[in-house]
Amino acid sequence: MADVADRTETRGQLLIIAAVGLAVLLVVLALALNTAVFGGVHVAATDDGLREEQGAIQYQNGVERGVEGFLPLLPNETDTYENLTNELEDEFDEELTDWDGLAKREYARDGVATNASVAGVDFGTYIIHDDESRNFTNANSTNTTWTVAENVSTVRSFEMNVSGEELAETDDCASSDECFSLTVDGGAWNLSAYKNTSDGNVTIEINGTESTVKCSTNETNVGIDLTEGTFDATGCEGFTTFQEDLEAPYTLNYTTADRVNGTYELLVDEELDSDDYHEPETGKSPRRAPSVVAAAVTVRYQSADLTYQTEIRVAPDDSDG
Amino acid sequence: MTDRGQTFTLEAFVAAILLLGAVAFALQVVSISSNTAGAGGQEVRSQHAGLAEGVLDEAADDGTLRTTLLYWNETEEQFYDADVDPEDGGFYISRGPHTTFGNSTAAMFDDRRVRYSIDLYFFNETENGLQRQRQRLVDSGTPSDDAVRVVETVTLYNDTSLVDENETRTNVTLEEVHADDNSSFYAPDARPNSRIYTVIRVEVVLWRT
Repeated sequence: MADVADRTETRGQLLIIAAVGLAVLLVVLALALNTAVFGGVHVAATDDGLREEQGAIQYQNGVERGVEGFLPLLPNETDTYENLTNELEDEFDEELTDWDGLAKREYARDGVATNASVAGVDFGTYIIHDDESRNFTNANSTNTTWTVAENVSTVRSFEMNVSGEELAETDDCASSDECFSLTVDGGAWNLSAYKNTSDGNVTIEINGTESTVKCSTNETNVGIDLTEGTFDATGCEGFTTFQEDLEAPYTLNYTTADRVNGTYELLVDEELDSDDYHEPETGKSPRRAPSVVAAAVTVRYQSADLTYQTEIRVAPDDSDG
Repeated sequence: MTDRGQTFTLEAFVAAILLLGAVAFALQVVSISSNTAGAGGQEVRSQHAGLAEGVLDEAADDGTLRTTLLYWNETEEQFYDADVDPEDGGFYISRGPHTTFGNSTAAMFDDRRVRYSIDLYFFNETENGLQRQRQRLVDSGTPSDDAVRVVETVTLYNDTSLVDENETRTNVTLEEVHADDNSSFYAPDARPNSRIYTVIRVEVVLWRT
């Protein structure tokens, strides 16, 4: 009898232990399954690291967009080329400091120190001819055929205002060599302006690489925008600009520049120093003045976990500055 | 033999516990309670933050964000077609403006049942120095605990012009509005002596409903 009693007791203990074991097993299984469905711990950790870098890049893009908005800087005074250059550099520095001061405070609220400062500026030339009564010859009035700009990679805000008085009267500029024309790259693209013999209207003819277009108007003073491609404030169907048709660099020439008068201005991204232009302090037409067309900016971004510094180049590349 | 049978069973259970415990330890995946925010809450938040950042970055790049900031009726002193009166802020409730940026944000988030509030911060030069001020653009209520925030910076210049209700540029520049007594812009000219009008910080707060 004792044997049977012993065996029953042993079995009872084993049963309890087995039950406890089974219970623990089920609980751990449940936990593991729960985590398998709902877990995602590791992904979050890497994400936070990237957020910091994203913040830095975002700031850098903010600097670039902010600076692009106040380029190009044009001089608005009459002074020597040298003085204007210094003034423009100072003005750019001030603008950037102003921007930096405002942006810095915003970022400081998030515990990030930022700084944007000037590393260097690139100058271009702003060419102005604002004497309406004067023809489009060069500064010493001797050359009717001359180079306005040679090998420039970007031309911005090229606006011309032409009056009909001096224009050649003809029906076709190809046969007559009296028409004023602007030629780009030796003739790959050119624009001629003349007066129609039949109705006396100011007409322009654009010989692009792919098509030839003629537009005319009965106004006496006509505005031509060579960067936007407009004539007389409206579109001229088929007016492709030379920057659309041709690749940089561009060489712009005037021919028969004595057969037109009016005004024009343009901004090129090279510094031109030629006898064809008056100095800015003279106020005569045509004259050149410096302008800031691009800049190098040092960008610094510092947060708790990240220090980032780089130098970016800001150069707005839209053709209408 | 019967005794040995129970011992074997017990051994099997212990082995199973050991194995599972080892797996759990190796993967370090044991979580005590399930997440209250729903399936993969943390991941979903990061996803929304990433989407919002993408939308904001693109809008800042192509200018549509700036257009939305200029979608302001300067004579009535509110955003066009705003839900709230000018005296109370002139902003929108639970929806974005009908601009390209507003529409793309709505398209992105309305389907996902994500609510968003957009606030604009800028500085004002007062006698006490530069003071930070806020203009609401979109107010969708109080964010929940698991909200995320994305920011972007936009610069406005003196010669930037406002846009009208069809998102076309008008002839009215910020400088003119600043000088005119009968019209006003929500942000003042933070730098009167420079071409820069002000720098606005756009904060978008998103959360799931």
